[in-house]
Amino acid sequence: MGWLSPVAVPSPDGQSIAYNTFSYLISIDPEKSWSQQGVHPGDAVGTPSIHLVDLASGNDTVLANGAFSLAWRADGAIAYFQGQSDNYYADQPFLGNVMVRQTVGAAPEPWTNDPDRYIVAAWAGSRLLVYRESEGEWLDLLAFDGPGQSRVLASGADLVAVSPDGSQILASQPGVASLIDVGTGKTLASLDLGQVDPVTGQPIGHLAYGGSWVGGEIAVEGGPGLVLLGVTGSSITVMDAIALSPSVFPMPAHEPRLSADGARIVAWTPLLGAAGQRTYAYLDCAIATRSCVKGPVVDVPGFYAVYNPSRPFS
Amino acid sequence: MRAIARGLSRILPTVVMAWLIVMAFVFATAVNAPRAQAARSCLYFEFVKSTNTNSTLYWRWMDDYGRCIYSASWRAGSGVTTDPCQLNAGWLPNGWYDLKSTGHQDSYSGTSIWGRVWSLQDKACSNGTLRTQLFIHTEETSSRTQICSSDPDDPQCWDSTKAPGDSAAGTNDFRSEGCIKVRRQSPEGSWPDAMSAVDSDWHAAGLGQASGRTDTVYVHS
Repeated sequence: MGWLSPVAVPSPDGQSIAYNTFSYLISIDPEKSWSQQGVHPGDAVGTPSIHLVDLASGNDTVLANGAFSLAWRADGAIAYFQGQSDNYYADQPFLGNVMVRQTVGAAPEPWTNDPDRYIVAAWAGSRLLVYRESEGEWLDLLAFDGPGQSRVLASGADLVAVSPDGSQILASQPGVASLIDVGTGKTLASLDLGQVDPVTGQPIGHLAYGGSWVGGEIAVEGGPGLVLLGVTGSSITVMDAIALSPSVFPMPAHEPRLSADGARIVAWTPLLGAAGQRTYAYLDCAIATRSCVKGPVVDVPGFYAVYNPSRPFS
Repeated sequence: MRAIARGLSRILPTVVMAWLIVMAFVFATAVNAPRAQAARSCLYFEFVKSTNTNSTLYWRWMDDYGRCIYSASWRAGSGVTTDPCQLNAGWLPNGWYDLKSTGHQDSYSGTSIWGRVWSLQDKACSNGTLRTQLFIHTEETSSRTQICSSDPDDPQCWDSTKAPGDSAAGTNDFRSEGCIKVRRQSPEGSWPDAMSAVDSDWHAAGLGQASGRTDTVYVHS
């Protein structure tokens, strides 16, 4: 799942965190093919699950096995994808349904009519935003108005961020970013991603999922590194950008969080260690100076941001 | 001594010519070696990542002299970012890939990909994140034709649109959610028909459709 949907989400009351984990049942060498590792199509490879951590006691409990991706609504309702089986099997599509619990202790209710490859993204008010994946990791962004009531909001799209009141989203599609009214599905404004950024003068090209929307501004991964957009109900503008040198940061900066005062962006980025292994660091960026300070390098796989993209948040 | 030098100067062109003829014969033999004889251990695609829209796909096979050579290479693309752990955006993770049981198909009919495809195994990137639904493909219909309109990014047309930062026409369609993409003939441009060459090399090697195959793609930087 990566960070297509947040790996760890704090509860609206701040008492706990729900997080995704994937337990491999076999040892995996990413450089080798399945056949080189003795894995055959249909072999069980691993088990995704969602856990809950009580921040006061530290207790860690399983919310659901065979499940991944979650969204936590302001009133405590939690949505997640539940696979038809607990395990992921090599080269088999991991099909399942979207379930919603009114509280973490309540019985799950299916919101999808048919199993498919779903990834739960966020709540937008009372509406649930879910990706449906098809060939080539193509993503359709769906809006669920309730159980069994879904519609396509944007095809081939990344959910960049949900507006603070939950009424709008910014979606990124090949070549264009769109401001979409969640209730009606109407596109309110568009931004041509062929537009150049103000730092390098190069086309922005791509905006990624995992951005953050504060007030009328959105921080998003894309362009030369990070892009700051200004959004009104009828327009999207490129306000600023921060360039990250590929020689220092060989891979993009992900899941940028915009500070409440709009002055800073905090993101994380993969780095390459001396032996070529993957390490990570967070970046603390000042928009005024278009510069970032790199935090300490860590080598723990699974270095992600903890945040709740659902809106309103509380 | 001068006589020897004069003699060499007369002989040398002949020697050089003979050497060139021998080398040309060796080269031609290597390039045209029957692909069916190529060893299975050296019969695969090699994808060398340079940039998201300008990387290279090679077809490697073993010649009669036991050399693992490539007879052709094609421009190819993958992803829109360089993080292989970024679903829906990062280029393919490094390593070897088997073909799924659906293997290669000449007339694949999907919901976002059509035509000539090679279906790759799921792959964990370096932090364990699984990449899935991966293909080698182009942009065409299931019957390998083109449906092109004024839209700059028709899903079943290799469009003339330029990739961001690229001055050449027909480069934007090298971008993908992660899959390896190869260009094909299109009414919107006159670039080489790489996909037909890739497909032709595959079938010329005696490889067919709709069956799995081990170690068929090797990806690296």
